[in-house]
Amino acid sequence: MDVSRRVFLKVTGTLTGIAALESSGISLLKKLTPNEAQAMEKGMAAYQVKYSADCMCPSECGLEFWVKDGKVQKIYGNPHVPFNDGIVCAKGASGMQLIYSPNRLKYPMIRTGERGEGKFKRVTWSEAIEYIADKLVKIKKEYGPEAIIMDTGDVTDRDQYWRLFFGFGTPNCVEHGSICDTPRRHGPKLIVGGKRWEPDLMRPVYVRQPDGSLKKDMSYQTKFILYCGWNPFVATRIMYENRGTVGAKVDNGCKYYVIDPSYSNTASLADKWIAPRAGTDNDIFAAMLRYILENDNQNDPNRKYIDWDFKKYSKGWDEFAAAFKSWWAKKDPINGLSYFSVEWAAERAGITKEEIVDLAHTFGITKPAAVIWGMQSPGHHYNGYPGSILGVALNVITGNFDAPGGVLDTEIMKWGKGGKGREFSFVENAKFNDRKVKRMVNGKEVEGKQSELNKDHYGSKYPAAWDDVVGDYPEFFEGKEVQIRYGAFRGYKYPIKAYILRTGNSVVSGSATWRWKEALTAKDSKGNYKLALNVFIDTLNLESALYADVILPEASYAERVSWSDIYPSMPLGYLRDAVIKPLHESKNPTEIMNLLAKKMYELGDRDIKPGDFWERYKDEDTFATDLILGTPGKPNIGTPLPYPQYPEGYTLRGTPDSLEKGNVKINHDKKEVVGEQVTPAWMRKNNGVAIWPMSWKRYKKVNSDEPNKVWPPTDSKMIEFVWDYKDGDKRKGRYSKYNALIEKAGNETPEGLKEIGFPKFPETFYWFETVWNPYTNPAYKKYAKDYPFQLITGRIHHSMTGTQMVPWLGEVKAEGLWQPLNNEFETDIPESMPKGTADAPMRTVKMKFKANTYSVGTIWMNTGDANNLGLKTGTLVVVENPLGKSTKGKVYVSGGIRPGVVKIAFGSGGRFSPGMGAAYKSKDYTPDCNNLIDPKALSPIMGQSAYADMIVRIRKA
Amino acid sequence: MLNAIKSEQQLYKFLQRVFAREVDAAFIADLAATQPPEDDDVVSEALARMIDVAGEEGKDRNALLEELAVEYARLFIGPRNPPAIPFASFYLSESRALMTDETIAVRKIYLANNMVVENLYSTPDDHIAIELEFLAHLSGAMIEALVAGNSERTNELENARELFIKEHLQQWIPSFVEAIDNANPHPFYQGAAHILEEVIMTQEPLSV
Repeated sequence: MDVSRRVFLKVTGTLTGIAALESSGISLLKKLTPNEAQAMEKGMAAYQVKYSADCMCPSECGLEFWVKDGKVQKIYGNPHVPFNDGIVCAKGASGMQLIYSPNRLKYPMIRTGERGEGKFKRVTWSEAIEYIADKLVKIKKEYGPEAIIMDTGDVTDRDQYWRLFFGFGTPNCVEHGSICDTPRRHGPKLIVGGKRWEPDLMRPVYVRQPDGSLKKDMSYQTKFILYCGWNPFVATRIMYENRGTVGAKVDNGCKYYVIDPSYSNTASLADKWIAPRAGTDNDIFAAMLRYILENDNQNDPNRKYIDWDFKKYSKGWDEFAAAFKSWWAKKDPINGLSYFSVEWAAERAGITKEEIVDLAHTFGITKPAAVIWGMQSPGHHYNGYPGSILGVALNVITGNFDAPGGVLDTEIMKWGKGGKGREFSFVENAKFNDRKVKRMVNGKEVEGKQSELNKDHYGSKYPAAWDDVVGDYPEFFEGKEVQIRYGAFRGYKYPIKAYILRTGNSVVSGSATWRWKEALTAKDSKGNYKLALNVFIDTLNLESALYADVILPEASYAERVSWSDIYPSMPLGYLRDAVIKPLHESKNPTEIMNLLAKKMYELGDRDIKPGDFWERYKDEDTFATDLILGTPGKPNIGTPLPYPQYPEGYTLRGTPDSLEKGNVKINHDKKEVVGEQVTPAWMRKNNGVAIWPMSWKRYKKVNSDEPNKVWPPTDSKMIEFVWDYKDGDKRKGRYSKYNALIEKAGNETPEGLKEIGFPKFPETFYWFETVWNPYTNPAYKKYAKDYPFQLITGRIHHSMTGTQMVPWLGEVKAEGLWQPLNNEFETDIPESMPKGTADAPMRTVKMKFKANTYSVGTIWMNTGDANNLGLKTGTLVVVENPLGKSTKGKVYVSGGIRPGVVKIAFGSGGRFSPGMGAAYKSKDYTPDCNNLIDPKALSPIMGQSAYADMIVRIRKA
Repeated sequence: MLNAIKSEQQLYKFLQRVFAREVDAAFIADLAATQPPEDDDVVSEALARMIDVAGEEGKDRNALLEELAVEYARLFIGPRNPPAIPFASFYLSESRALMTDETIAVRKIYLANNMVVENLYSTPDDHIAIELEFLAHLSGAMIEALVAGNSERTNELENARELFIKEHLQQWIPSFVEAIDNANPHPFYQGAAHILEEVIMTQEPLSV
């Protein structure tokens, strides 16, 4: 026998003693019969195409996954999803590097060292669940369930977690949107009940024709776009906006301007780039509106800016205009000029009067057009609200709102899905949140709704924070009590004792990084962490995981079932299917919800009902179906009418094909047209997507110029420029209920409003200045000399938190923010060309990257400024703020940024988790912009961290 | 020869257990009660080191188990990037990812021997512990064939084993062991890594 092997007889005796090998060995393989094995082998190598959606970034593009042997082999765009129309970017295509990342979280783990130290051990799911459930039940007993915060980070798949924690009894369930751009969304929410306004650029759309057929329409109508602090060519949350902008330019001669202190990718193709001082978006919008109001002439075709028809569909314009105009008589203390005049804005923004006039005139006269404000403009400023309100007003009065080629609210016509305030979850979560609970307040037992214990909506600071507040968590983690000031429990106080974070990285992005670290590690006099429980649930290994007590690995986006519907023009939804089994020991959110619910029930909690959780949701599809019960749930409105065969204004429910074919029941009492329910199974048979017809001018009746009183979803079902008004004996408007609460509480003003001197929420147009801006707010003028630079932020699409785990993407440079300025470093990389014979496996090798060959986060600054300071591209500098905080990084010098402004991208530097791949290696010379923000500067109405309001000085390191 | 294969199977099982997950109390108790081998070859020395760890005097057993569990997580799991990824494809594939074509090739080898990963499609087939379990399975089958006097089957299994070791395991084990060595490992896992390397990389003629 030709056998070769090393004989290890010497150790035979030794190993025989280890009986545990036989008795408790862990078996990872199983035997098959030869037939079974052959059958399996035969089945291999066949491709299946499965439709799903991306979740590596918030765009959630529709994707086609080519799956073979239970493994994703290729990722393409799903050509049936209008949102991305078959396109997939480099990031989406690199999904396999994330799904199959060797560094993703694989098993439940429990911390053994100190928070932040990174010492963990693997545990079983039951150990981890027991650990969490036990603590939650104890915290609930001692402090009440409201002492627990469920922060679902990303929007997607939050519903299982919200359901569980609302069901358990805490009203404090939040999501990533709370730290995203709440001031940006404020105007749309107040005025039309909406959220984000985008140009009408999503194509294709399906439009009803006079002959009854549906046309797939690829044409663009838009003629002019003004992007203010919005960079869709990089931060592609609204994926169709980048191809759509170029499409409208090429096909329809559309022009677009960009207002941005930095020469962004979007600016690089613009017809005009205007670079004002940071934080002056509001000023420019206000001056545009004043100019339009003062110079509109309905008889002069070259001055006919306003389409006065808007008043037919609006409420309160006169009050709004009066409040706006009342400022004109006042002089701004910063420059002595009349508010909102062109001169005033030019002075504050540091641009010319002519530029502002050109902006106002070009926008006013060109139709259809859209003014768009982004995350980096009103979105991240302390005073973003007036800007966002003015943006809406500009679009509405010029007749561009919901006009073909104009601007659309992408929130209020999307299909009904999940979340607070919509269909199923609304009813279900309300069921939990409306439960009556009792608390002792000042020695008296008081009864109220669970929801009235919400930290924000009834708390002392930001009652109108309808997206909740995350930026102030550190102070509560450190022991400050939540003070309920409004509603039934007025006077009640409670601490925050548990923080469950799911798919977020709040230590880095929640507000100031240093502040989160400080708060999560704060201990009481007995040496216990003040925040008793910190749980991290995710697929990725991010910095926040290092501070967790327990880590639960969640199935990646390709391994769980949910829905996507990002910012469409019309009702649209697509399936985010589980295309492969969850890898390693990760579990999908439905399973995690059920496991925790069951354990808490076993531990005696009776707010948890089996029928609400594991008995009802035996699989993901059932939960996913429940999430969209009755979808799209949107009215049959607009021009052309989506379904002329059904009554105008009736709510449409059911699959597009059932509505099209007439397989419906019409309920005249409820004013509903009900077809067949959309389900994951239906989606799988229909290219993974449901698309309902597009229409425009959805605020008016199809055949007459009067409001349909169905949409938009405001109290009056009209466009509302007043937010606290009387309608008969009823009080209405978006702010009215908050003002009612304030009045009931003896006119005790919320702390946020107090900061800006407002006693209550304003009834109509309002104005206040931002913080840390010496050029618009006199209170900060004194800092201008010592801190001569305004710090702004932005994102780099391919190097955001999660994707820094994808090594190939990180190498690509972007704008002045992500440049090949690395120090020499060594890392493992795949060898680009195989050596030796053709069939030799490709190998990864250690490779030294020479200095300045690999992209890292940088500090973008103007050439003149750099020359003055003796800096050049690559110089290591320290950036300091007036609060004594600093960050370090290398400068990238170019003319593409306004003098006096520096820009650092979110999450691009100082990444202190080794999970960040090459980004970790550069952590000591790359900047963390969040380390510089003022943790106390939370915008006064919605409580969002003012990410873009800071001034700094710069010196060589 | 039978004894040789039995001893080899024991080693495979031993290593499989050490790399499959953190060790438990029973395993450590057995190991601590074991007489260390006195020879000075690599395997004996490394094993002696592991026994020393298990039986260290005055050391609290629970503390030791915790220490080893934390070290296991640090080396092989995370939540920081683990320095020694225990999957073959990480070392063999262009993408440095898991579940690559190299992983599927390993699945086919298992199937050809009527074996499949228990947690198919979730656990990548080329985890070091699974590959060691597969070797232990082949050794077990060889023992049966030898006892039954089926030399054709014995040869077949030996060829399968040799092919798997030479063409697959030997391609990545040195990198894996080097990764462990470079991560300043606990002596327990350093010992296991050195035994692994010796078992996989050394092929000597078997005297029947």
